[in-house]
Amino acid sequence: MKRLMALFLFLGCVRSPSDSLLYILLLQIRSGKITLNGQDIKGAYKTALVEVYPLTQEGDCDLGNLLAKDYTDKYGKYSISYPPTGSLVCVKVKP
Amino acid sequence: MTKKLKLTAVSSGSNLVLDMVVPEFSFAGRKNPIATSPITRIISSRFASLAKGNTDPKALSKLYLRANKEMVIRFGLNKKVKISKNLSGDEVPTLEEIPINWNDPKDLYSVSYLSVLAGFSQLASSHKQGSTVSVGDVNSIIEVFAKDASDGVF
Repeated sequence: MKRLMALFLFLGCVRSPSDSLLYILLLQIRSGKITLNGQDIKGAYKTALVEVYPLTQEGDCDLGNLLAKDYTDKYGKYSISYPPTGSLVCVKVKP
Repeated sequence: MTKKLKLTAVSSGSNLVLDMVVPEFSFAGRKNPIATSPITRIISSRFASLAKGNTDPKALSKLYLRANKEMVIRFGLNKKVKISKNLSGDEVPTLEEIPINWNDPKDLYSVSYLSVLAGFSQLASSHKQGSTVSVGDVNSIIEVFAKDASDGVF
């Protein structure tokens, strides 16, 4: 079964957040592209669904108007492009 | 004391959804990645509460900034800001503006950020429904914080 790794650190105590298994879901957005980086160690996020939506006037994700979607790769990365809205956007990451 | 990190895996059948509201201009040309995390989910919840009933699309950016900076303060994500009664919003960076170096384990910003996430996970462990902490447990904790933060009162 494929497993999606999220960024939850379950720990007794922390010495250094990066000294052991650590998964961070990162969105790197450049020039109209959104890039999801799984930063970690072993495997990162796999096949997580990433969706980008515009916002409604009341600040909700306009779920009926999907701008773009993509999946993370085996390294937890993806690149997704959508027409710029010039405003705020809503990004959802789902298993 | 033993220091240990463990990871909770999210199965494809889980209900864990992370979201983030972000202004496009904030990521144009930036080098540092923006993390999508429980913190951004909480910010989104606060933002949605502030924006409820809004009729001016131009006001969304200001509301977003408010929600974002509130959470930066609440969670102490910018250690360089000295909290005082006269603290101006201009002195507080947004989450995207904080120069987090994820690759540096000694980076104060990343340590602060990850410590908050660790706290969520610890709470999930303390309040787990089964014998082991699950993604659902973590999701429940995040949801509690998101709902609690929505009114801006802590």
